[in-house]
Amino acid sequence: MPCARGFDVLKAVDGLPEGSASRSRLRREVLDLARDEGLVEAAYSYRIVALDAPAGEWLRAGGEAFHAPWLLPESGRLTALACASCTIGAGIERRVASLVAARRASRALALDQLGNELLFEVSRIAQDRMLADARRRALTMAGELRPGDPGLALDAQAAVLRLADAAAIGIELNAGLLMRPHKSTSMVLGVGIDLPAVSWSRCQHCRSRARCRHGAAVAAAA
Amino acid sequence: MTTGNSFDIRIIGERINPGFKSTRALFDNSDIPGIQALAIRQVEAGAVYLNVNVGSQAMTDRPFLTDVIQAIQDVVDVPLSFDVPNTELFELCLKTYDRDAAGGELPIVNSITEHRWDAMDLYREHPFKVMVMASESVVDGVAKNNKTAEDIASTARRAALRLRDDCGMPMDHIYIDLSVSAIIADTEGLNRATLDAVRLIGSDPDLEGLHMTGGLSNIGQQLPAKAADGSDLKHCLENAFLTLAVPFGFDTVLGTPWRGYHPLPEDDYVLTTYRHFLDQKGSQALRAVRKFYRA
Repeated sequence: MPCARGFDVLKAVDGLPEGSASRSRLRREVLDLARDEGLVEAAYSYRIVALDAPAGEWLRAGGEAFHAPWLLPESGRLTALACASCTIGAGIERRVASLVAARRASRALALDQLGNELLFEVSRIAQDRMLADARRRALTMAGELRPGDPGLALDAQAAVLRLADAAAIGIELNAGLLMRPHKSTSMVLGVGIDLPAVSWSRCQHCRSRARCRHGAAVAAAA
Repeated sequence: MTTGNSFDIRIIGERINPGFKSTRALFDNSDIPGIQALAIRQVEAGAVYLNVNVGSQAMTDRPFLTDVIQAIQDVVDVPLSFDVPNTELFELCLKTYDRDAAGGELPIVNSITEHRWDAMDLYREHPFKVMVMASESVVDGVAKNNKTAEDIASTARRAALRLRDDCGMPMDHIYIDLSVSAIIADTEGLNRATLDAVRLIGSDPDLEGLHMTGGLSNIGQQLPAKAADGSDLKHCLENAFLTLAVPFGFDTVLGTPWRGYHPLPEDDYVLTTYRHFLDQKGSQALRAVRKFYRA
């Protein structure tokens, strides 16, 4: 089960667009804060798990079952699921709480926003690693679902985390399906033979899509 | 992300280059899986070659350059094109390149010019295909920039025949790189010269089989995102150039595979404006550029 931890993810978000001068200053402050106080403990774990049975509306892998028909490819053959979990640890959420308690709301919000960006970046790194891994096995990877998003119910969360061995990087799930550390995420991607690129995106139903900085950054990079 | 190219062209994926901000971040972090994923995405989007340019890091960190080449070849089976600043680094790239991993295909040395020909010394020991910059020539021993179609075409012809006759290189192993200038600063008719050179080279019977290529990302530099008709100006300019160049033999683009290049209809606003721009020079050309984004 591949996993990685302790890599520098702050550097990767350092060059992102910063907006107005005051936002830019605030962002610089929270970047320095995160670095100086060692608030980020980035980690990811993943596993590419072969399907237990031919792909159908229910996908069965590693003894778990997922109702994820969006992952069924238009052509090619789905043979496995890539399950991943990612976190940036609990340092940022604790510091956000202390900033809120100290009535430093704008700094707290900026630090929280930075935490989201860092988590996106850890997800991106994990996905890149899985893609390279799949390709080395002469497999393709397509589609991305996260428990709770359209296409995959939230109650799939526990199974995804089990398959990704999220416990190895310290992610726990409580009875309300809330992950701890809060700044954690999980995902499932389709893996198989000659899978075509999917025509859908987990973002397409998101109400924040038009004003999402992450989406804009992805579009700009393309 | 747009995909699907409807031109009959080959794409050399250009994204492994620190000129792209997102790629620079991968290099800055030595993010090898990220670079591998970028290679895979380009191939899945239709790239038949991948250009590898690690920027100035190639000069200071040679193990990183070889790691990148090996990592890319570990996950994709298309051949690579190497864009490095000197012959010593070309040699390192060629030695690192695993031809078997690319289905036996030769890599491309990107690039040589008439006055930077020394990379050809490597050809016997490490065969490759080559990209020749036709925008530069040597006159009386001095390098100069070509500004007319005739100069560009004669440089391309001279170089191609020299490669064929001196090195025994097949014509279809030669890629003539035609500079596609930014229109915003093109007051000397360089776009016109490039397109006319494409016609001259494409109609030269001695050069049959040779490829013509160029990077398109310069053409729309510093222009607004939207054209006056609301279309994506930079992308439409790339397509306008290709619409005029592909029928005359421009068959390879050093570009982003998911850009989705396609021919523009004759009445397309940007194509019509580009045609008008091509007929202008000096301040008239600058005025013509404004028509792209002002109604």
